[in-house]
Amino acid sequence: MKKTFNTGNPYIWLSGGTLTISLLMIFGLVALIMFKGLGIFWPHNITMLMLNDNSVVLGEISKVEPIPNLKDSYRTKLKVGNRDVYGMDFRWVDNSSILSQDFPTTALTIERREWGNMYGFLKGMKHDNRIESLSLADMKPLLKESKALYKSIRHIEKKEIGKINHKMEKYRLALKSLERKLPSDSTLKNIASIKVKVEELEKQYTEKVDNLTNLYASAKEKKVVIQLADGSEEILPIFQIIRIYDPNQMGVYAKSSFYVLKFWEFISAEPREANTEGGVFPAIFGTVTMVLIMSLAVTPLGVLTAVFLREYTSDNIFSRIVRISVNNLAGVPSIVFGVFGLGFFIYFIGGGIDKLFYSEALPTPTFGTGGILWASLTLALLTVPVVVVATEEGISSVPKSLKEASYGLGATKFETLWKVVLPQATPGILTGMILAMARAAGEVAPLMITGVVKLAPSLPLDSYSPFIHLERKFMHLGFHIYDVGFQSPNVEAALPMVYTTTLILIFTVLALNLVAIIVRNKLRTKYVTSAL
Amino acid sequence: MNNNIIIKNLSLTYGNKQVLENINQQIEEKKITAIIGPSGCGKSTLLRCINRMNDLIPETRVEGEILFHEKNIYAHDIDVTEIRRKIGMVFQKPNPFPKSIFDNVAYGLRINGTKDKKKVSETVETTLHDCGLLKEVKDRLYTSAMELSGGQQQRLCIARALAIEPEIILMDEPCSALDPSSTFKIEELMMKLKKRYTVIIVTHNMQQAARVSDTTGFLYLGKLIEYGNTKKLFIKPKEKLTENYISGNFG
Repeated sequence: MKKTFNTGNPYIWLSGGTLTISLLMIFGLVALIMFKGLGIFWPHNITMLMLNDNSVVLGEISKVEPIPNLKDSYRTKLKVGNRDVYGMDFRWVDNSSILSQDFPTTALTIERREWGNMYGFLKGMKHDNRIESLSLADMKPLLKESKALYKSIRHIEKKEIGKINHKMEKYRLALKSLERKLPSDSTLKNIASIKVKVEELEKQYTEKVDNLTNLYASAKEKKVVIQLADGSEEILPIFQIIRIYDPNQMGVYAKSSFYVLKFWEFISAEPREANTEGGVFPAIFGTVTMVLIMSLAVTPLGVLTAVFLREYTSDNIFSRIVRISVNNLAGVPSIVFGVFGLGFFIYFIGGGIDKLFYSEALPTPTFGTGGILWASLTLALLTVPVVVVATEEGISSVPKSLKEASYGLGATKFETLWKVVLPQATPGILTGMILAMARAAGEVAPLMITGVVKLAPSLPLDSYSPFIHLERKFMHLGFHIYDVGFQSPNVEAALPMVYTTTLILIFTVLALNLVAIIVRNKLRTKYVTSAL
Repeated sequence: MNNNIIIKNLSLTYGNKQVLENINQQIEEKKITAIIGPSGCGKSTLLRCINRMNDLIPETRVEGEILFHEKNIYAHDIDVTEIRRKIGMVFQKPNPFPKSIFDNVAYGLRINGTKDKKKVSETVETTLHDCGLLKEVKDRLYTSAMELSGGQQQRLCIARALAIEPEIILMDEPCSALDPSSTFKIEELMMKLKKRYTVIIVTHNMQQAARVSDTTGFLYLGKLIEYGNTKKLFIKPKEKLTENYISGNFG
């Protein structure tokens, strides 16, 4: 027995075993998220169930499970949609009460702009009091029309009215700051000219609003009648329909292309209906932008700290205390950093900036409220230890002989650092950055009090100067997961979105890291040290 | 002007350890001076004193003087980088920068403020030529210096030191990591360098000292035991200790 232990073989098995367990857990995690998250875009068949109380239920089967303590009995969870009619999206049906099950070919899934999916049969188009029959193929041009209408409405709302509002706000602030000055001829003249411009804008604004009202009115004109499972009829304006399809007649190819389309919508579109429908593009954009700003802030801070610790101080009590403190920063709960960010960055620095540069907008804060810049800086503080440690390691791995070669040629300490040590330490620095990015992309708690919101009206990057709006609030995938899964009005229907969003978060972090890793490996081959 | 190196009463302690004790030595101009001695006798330390490379090691204390151009290089008003520019160094292991061959040689020029690109590339080529390396690397000047062989790397390091036109070249066992044929090439190069530079070489290899140097100093336990003409020292040493060492009785 002792002999076997002394060979060391059991330890190989032990370490190999723990590695296997770790790998299995990682794969299990990713597999679970992919399994749960990737399924939601697949168009499921619509089932029609006749129950023994003579009622009919129509919907997608989402789960079948055994009833506890009852042998051979099951219950089915159906997504019945029509939240506006039934009040909830899901319904449990006891399998013993099912008389018959059917997959009617004409059953339709209707994706709506509001109230989630509707399941039913298309009766026809409504003209005053009569119903004109309509096939699914006939719906296509109508839907196209309504999509164009929707686009033009969005364009007016977001772009045109947005532009007017942007200008009006500018004039309002200009007026405010002019009115504060001592009245003189020139200021009065300026005020008058601005007021004329504002009036002009207001006229434009009312025009646009009238335009919008007309568009909305025309949107309500065309309606279809949908027959629900229980035979009742619902009138639905075509404008409300995003997509209408008959999953029971779709083949694998049709379903696959539908799936791709839906997935693309998910990553490229804005969220709808309190984030439970639509896409997550603003959240992806916010996450990536925040991580990039964070890296820009954390790299110089961490690298310079490490350079100082490694190159400019000797090993004394001071440097040891600094090093211990920096390392311990990594263990501070992240919400503490959030509170610090709120108190220092937002209220102190942001408030100061507001007083100095945006005083005319006060008491409405510009920088003195949560925003992407403050969130990024807070996370930069949070991740600074990672960069410091990695950079220190990178610097200490630079061979002494290289430094001596540089000094021997009459280089100063700074020149040696800048031209020999830092380039050589770049892979280490980038490793630190990669770890920092991964940490920052997944952090949610400090963001919640420094600038993340459920729904940001605009991205931190747009076409109004100065194009990058660091003071804006933003959306973040991590927070989005929490919000969709647990704060939305329709938690049950949105739950699959949690997994999908998680998947997107993982892929976003992966993509960011991959870029950094490729850069690092390129540099590593460039700065390969002597084999001798 | 006298650009000799004169070492006066030089002592060096590292922490509590006395490494060099009261060294007095005058180094001749445009000659090769070899310093020999057993491991740990302080020969590398002595060499590194001459361009103040020991400054980089904490807890090192130097007493005495080293005169260069009749000025003490340990005086307070001396610019260390200026000293190192004038007194170049080649190290035991080839230590080229992980940059291109061209950039390695150009490094010293650039940090010393030569901006003119044409001048830089001219100097790089002539120094590489002087070190007999140009022929071998002509068509791959911009590839990494790490791809060269050990001997080529060491000659590149010599070229790097020569590019900034020092007056004195210190060589710290430059051939100890190299094979015989590379060693031969470097010794050849040293004989060529002698015409223009003062060369001080530390070596473990007594044959090498006998082959290349004009003057030899024997260092033992931090003391300069004997110093004089190489031929005389090797054929007829004055000190018993020197005789024992060169005849291989210890070391």
